[in-house]
Amino acid sequence: MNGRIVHNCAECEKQIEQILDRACSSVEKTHFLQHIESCPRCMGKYQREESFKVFLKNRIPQKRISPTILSSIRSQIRGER
Amino acid sequence: MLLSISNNNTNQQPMKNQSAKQELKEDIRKVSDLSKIDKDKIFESEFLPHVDALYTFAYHLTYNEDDANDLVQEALLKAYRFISSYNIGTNAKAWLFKILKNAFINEYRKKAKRPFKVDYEDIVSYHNSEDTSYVGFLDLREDIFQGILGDEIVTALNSIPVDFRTVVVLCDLQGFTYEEMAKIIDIPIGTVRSRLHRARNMLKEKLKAYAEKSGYLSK
Repeated sequence: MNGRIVHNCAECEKQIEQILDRACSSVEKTHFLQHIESCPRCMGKYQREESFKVFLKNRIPQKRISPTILSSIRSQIRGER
Repeated sequence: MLLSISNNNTNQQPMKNQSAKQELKEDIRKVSDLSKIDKDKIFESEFLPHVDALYTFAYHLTYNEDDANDLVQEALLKAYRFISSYNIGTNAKAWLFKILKNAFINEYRKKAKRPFKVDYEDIVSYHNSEDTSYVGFLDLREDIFQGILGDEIVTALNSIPVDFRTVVVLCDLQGFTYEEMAKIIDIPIGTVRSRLHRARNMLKEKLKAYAEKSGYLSK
């Protein structure tokens, strides 16, 4: 949490990522949202950053461990005391 | 969680009348005195549900499936051996990720016998920083990055220093909070924040360059 209250565009820009990463308090978020609702430029930046975050979440490959490895882990655990 | 596991072995009666505080105290008590059966149950119910997330993290640290498999196995075996350090019902996922990250630093890097290449400029700008030198956003148009394929994002991610891609994977893929990431990587929250900001900007640079190279974005 950064403790910043948004009053202008510069402060807003600094807080965009923390808002998207859920790292701000509800008060900070309220002030932030009030600002972007009245500022198309900041709203645009916020939406682009939000899209980029969603893009990363959706496009960075999620992997699944192979059943063979999982079986090997389980058998090693069985051998542990 | 612990209560139900312990009940199987000790025939304790359900403690319906105990206060919530007492139950919580029971839930988070250390498990050093548990039997192997109980430890195995904890392992199966609290650790193994995170195995794919751990493997994904290991894969993006190493970009090598064999090394990622080794890392996950090592991390889970360590977690099992040190299960007495784990407080049942707390954040198993973050605890396992911290073990894997430490295993990566201690074993994988040593085994590889080569330091990871991190630009001096990058180190200076983030090391122990509380984000005093804020750099603005690289504003990337949505239509640019929406055309990027999975392979290209992997290439871009792989091309940035491992400490930077670590925070992207932990935050944007795994959804950890700044506080959790700070504990997993053992750095201050301010450094997490600034590293994440730099990492995202680096990725945007790479993706923008790719879009230009591919011809669907004019320079």
